[in-house]
Amino acid sequence: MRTSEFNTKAFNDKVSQGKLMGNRCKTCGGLHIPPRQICPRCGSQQLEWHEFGGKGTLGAVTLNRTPSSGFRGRPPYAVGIVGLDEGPSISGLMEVENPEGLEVGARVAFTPIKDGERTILGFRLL
Amino acid sequence: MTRFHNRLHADKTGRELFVEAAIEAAGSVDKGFRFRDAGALFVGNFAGDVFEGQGHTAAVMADWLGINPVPAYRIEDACASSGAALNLGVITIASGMADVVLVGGVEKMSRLTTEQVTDALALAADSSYETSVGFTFPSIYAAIASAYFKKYGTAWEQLAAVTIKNHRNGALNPKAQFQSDILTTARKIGERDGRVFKDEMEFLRSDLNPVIASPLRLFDCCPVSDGASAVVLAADEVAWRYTDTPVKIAGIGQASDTIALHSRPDFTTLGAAVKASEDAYRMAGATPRDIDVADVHDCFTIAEVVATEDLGFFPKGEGGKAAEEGLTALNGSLPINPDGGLKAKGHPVGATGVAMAYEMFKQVRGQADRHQVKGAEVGLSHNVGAAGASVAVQIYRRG
Repeated sequence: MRTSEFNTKAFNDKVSQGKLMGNRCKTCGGLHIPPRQICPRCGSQQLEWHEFGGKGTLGAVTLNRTPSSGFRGRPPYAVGIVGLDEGPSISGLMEVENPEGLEVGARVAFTPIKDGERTILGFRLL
Repeated sequence: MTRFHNRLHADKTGRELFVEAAIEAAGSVDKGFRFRDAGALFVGNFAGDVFEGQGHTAAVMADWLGINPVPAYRIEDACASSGAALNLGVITIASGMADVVLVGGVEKMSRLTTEQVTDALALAADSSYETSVGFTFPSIYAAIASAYFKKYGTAWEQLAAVTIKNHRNGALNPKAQFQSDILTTARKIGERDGRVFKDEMEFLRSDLNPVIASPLRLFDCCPVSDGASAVVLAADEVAWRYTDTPVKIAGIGQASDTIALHSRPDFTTLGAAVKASEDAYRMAGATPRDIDVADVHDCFTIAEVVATEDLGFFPKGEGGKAAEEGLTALNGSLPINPDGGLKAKGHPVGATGVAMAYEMFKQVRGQADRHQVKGAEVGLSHNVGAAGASVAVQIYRRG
């Protein structure tokens, strides 16, 4: 059995290194983030790493005032979905001074957010 | 079904709630029903393991109903668990494996703190790529609302219309967790603070309805609830043994979608709801226009707006306007959630899908008392898991 290099740990390791890595289907050319083991577009298992530029547009956003335990103690924070310029979208924590003012359509760029031991996939305003 | 509530059932476990619901279901069968008549048991349960430290739910229920060795299956599709269980019950009868099936759902949520419940519910989202960046369930639906408002140029006021309507309906339903309309609630809460609100909107816009995840406020969210539900399914050929006025499940649909919202091309529609309803309409030989009444999955008010569009009741972008104009009210052209919906009736997640079937059974038989939709003959239920990664739909007709 072939083991896959396209896993959550590899993705998170890249995020902590400041890289937003997904993968590209060698069969149909589809881009995916996070990386997939099977291309959801054509079913191919032939995929390769692809680095995304990190820039994109906010497609959905909210100011969350009732966090889960993993985000306890933070002031209200904005979290949203960014449509990357290459096409696919990904969720991220918004690192901005005025989270109340964030709106769908804002231009943002990927930034890793250090939080103790972990690194959170984040975006800042462009 | 039991009454749904966050305090009333404090001393009971999920199994006791489920048995209560099953006893009511059996007792309501016109010509009588013994649990041993069932050839299989399907139980929807999302997270009894987390909520009350009890897994293997269906086995517990089969034992407590005294029906061993009848096969018992636990179905987990997040908040669509018992909607999915219901579909599997229908499929079991259609397959010929059993003539009679007992289907239900249960969730006992109130033992945990709000933060623990938030964590438990978030298990139904993508823990690797959504909750890991700060999303919770309310915030995922809030994100849907933000995209919806932007796309259609609408605003929160339309969501408030859903809140007002569903609480008005809940006030007429003795099984509902909240049995007071928003005006009464505003008066009650206002009195405590020495404040008077001139109408529902003034209250809903106030600090007494705090923002949970913008634009969703407290009264846009369904509550934490305990409860259970159960229904008896029988094959056409044997239904006469139990009643002369059965309700037919005329069509079912079940569909899946990506676990993370971000993987979908459009955040303002649940593709699985569109697909599941198309399949159910086709099987029933029906169209959205044939539906007289529907229970839809309003875990958040925006979810009801999107549901009424996904099901084909209203054009895209006009579901909120329909609620505002009263089209979905109890006396409207297409009443939605006459039982108060998840919003006012409550949402013990695993019990919700079958509780919708319970309501449609009553509606189609004309037995819904004060929240009866006049002349309802065809009903639809729409049960959503998480943000639409699982959706179960059923269509009911007077038999």
